[in-house]
Amino acid sequence: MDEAGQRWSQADEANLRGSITDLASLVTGHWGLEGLMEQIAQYAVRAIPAPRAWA
Amino acid sequence: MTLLRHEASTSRVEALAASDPFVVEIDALQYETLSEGPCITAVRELRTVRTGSLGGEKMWPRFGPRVGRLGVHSALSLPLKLPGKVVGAINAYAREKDAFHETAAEFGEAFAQPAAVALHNAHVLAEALRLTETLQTALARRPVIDQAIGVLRARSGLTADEAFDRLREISHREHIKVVDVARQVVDSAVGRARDQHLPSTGSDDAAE
Repeated sequence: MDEAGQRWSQADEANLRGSITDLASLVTGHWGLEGLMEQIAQYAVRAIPAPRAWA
Repeated sequence: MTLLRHEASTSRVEALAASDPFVVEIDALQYETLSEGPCITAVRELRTVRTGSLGGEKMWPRFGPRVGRLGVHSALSLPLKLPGKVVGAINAYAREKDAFHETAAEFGEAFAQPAAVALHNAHVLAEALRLTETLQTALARRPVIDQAIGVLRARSGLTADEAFDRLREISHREHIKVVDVARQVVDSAVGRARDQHLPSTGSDDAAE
């Protein structure tokens, strides 16, 4: 995000695209339901532009 | 960040993944203790919920101040939507105020769409595997139960339903699984039949 917090940087967009691509490549049966959810949570951290202090 | 699964038939919400144990505490407060908060609103109203000042949020008069006292002030809740239903939600929390801008919500929504599909597919697969296992177990047990029903009917003239009820009664009374009762009935019948039909040694010798 830029300084004003209103526009996305190319890095932010690349992170989102990367997360969605990684999500699409997950093999559901390999991870199982809980494993898959953990993966989705990890990808979501990358997809949503991070504020300075995540909880 | 937490990821929750929503069971539409029971309205049950289950936290299954979290990037930090601390956020599990927040979700427990939201779902188990207070039954209010941004994620509950997001799931119920099928919309993204974003707040930058939880402590002063009038929409959740109990949840907001409690979480604010924990030092968490921002939340972004994204429902994982499929046509006609919600399968879960993604929650992001931050300590700083106004941490999530409007565009953060837009990015979150873009990610939430494929995430909903992935989560739904995983749930469908898990249910299919569970059902397959149940059916395989039932298929493996069915032949011996059918055989036992046949034995009981031959002995007493019962109908098939009556014979099965008899097996269940014995199972309940003796605290033994129906399939094990059936196996005992069949084994007992087979044992008796063999005893009756075994040729004696003497007659064999005489025949030769």
